[in-house]
Amino acid sequence: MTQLDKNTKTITIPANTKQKDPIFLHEKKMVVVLQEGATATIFDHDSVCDLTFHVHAKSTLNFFSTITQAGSKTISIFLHGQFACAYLNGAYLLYENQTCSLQVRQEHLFPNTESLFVLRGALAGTADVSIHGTIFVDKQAKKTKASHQNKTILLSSGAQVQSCPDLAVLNKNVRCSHGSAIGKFDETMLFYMCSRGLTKKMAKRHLLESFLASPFAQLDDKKRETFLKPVTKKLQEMV
Amino acid sequence: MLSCEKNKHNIFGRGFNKKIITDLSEQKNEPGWMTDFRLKALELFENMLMPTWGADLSHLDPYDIQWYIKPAEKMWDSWEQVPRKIKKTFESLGVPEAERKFLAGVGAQYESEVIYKNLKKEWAKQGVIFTDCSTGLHEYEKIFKKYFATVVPPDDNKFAALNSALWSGGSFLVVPAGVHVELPLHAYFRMNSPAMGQFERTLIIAQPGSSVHYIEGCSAPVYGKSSLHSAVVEVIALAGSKIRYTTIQNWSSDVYNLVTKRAVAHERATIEWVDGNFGGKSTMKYPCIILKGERAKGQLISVSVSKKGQQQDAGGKIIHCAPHTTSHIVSKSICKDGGRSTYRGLLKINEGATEAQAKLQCDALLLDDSSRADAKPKIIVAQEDANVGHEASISTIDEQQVLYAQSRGLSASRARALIVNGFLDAFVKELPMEYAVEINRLVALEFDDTIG
Repeated sequence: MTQLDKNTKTITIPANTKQKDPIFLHEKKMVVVLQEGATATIFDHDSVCDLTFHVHAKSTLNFFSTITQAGSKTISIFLHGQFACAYLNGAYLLYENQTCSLQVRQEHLFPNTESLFVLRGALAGTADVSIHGTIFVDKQAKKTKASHQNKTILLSSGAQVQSCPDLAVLNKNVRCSHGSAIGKFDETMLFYMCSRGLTKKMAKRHLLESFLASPFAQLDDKKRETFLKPVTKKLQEMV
Repeated sequence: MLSCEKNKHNIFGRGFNKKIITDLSEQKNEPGWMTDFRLKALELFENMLMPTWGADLSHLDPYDIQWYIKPAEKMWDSWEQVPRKIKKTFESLGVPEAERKFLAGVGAQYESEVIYKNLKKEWAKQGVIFTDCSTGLHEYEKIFKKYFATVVPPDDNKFAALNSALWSGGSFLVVPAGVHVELPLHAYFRMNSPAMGQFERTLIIAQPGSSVHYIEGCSAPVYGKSSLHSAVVEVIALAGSKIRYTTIQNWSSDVYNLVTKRAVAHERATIEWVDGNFGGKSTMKYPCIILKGERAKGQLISVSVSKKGQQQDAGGKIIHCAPHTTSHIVSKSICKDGGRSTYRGLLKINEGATEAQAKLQCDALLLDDSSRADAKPKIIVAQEDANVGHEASISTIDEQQVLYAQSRGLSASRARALIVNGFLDAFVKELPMEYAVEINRLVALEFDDTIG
């Protein structure tokens, strides 16, 4: 059973609880604690600005987030016990002169932990986003597997993205990586879709939708569609 | 702050101020504009703060070093004339032999001045200029002044300001239009005294349609007192030219290596930095390429090996300013016995750099639990049709690969040395064969316990 502390802003998933339904976050500043053996799925739509996860031994966190409004967001994940896992998936879509700053920290403090962060985004107008992702692996955190991947499509000449991934590793027996890609639409894909009868506008919209939806592939179709509604709606305004 | 340990070679002692720098400039018979340049740079240095990021510089006192030691009264162009003591040092490093066998020319700097410079006749006939910067200033002032400090101005950073105030020695290389120097030119830098500061200044200009490969190597004996190597390198590749700049740095473990290297590539020009960092106590070096002209290309391949007590804070910067420019950065680092390496880089695509393509890859191998590796790239893209990719990884040697090699009859130690060699292959294959063989040999000695 979920315990929502009074006066806020802390959610604790008790030990050995497999949370079936996703938890939607609504507060600006939140702490989520997964006790030993717990599993939880957390959703966030532009709500939280400062989010901290404490993931204990043998627990699994699945976090899904979308950003469609300007602002600043800090997400910190601390893996506090062996075999703790955290999977973070996000998508952002900004246009006009929206600016956004996203800071993500994945901190591995124990052996045999895993954290994967996947982010997809698209910028139009003169939107500006800066992404700072840090992976820290403590000296004792051997057999850590950690990754940070972000990809962005720029839709206009005034848009700008800054990507600053950071790896700080103090144990040799790990697999850590980060990757970043920034670019434009693949013209070949656009051409293919147009050759199938779609207008260029429709083709762009479909390609963007699938690009932004890719981090959420593990959700079932209905949940994914519901979760991505704000993004889809904004895409229709933009493209 | 001025304690004097003057002698016939160390004529200024330790420390420096306006008067001492004016005396140095007078002694070198420099034109007034250079004296003014040095004095302005000194003022900038005194007003700038030490960097608060990067390698640990807390024990470095730039005023407590012998910053100018004159090893001889003049420069020679024949090894027979070089004083025996100095010649012996370079002979043990294989420099004269290398010149005979496979180089177009050699410059050798001992302490603060270049004592030997020779360019083979066939290149001198074609108008190639290869000399030290002081000679360049005196004999080719017009072209020297045109490009000097245009790529790295003295206010760039604190150590560029220090170098601008105290510079001495270094290389001045000009390749005329259409000339392709087919053999490498090599400069060798040696700090032989304890608590020494070397501030060489290098200026390379490739005129349109020309090409050259410049190699620099450096070393110093271990004294247990900190030395400082603070160089500035400016490279200008004019339209359609190509410059490859290779560095094999193997300073001793008490040297602070703080270098500013920057290149500008004009239209259709190519600049390649091949940067090997094997020595030094603390290194801060980020070779930079500014892709200024359309269809310019930049490539940076760097390697750093950090061992006990070493901190290699290195990387690279590439800035795309024009359309259809391409760049590629590959960085490899290895840490063992408590060494620490940091990749620090910048990849920037400015607005207007349409269809720019850039790729950045940095990988690190940690060989034990006492070592540390960080990767801190920064990517800024302000052009919608640019194509930029980056990847980084940190891990240790794959034990499955070691097991496979052992199953083929190799010892575990030999297998690890081979894997490390393979990891460095992207760098080693860019070196002339003679240097590649030497690097492979060094790696084998370092990582294969079975070799005595």
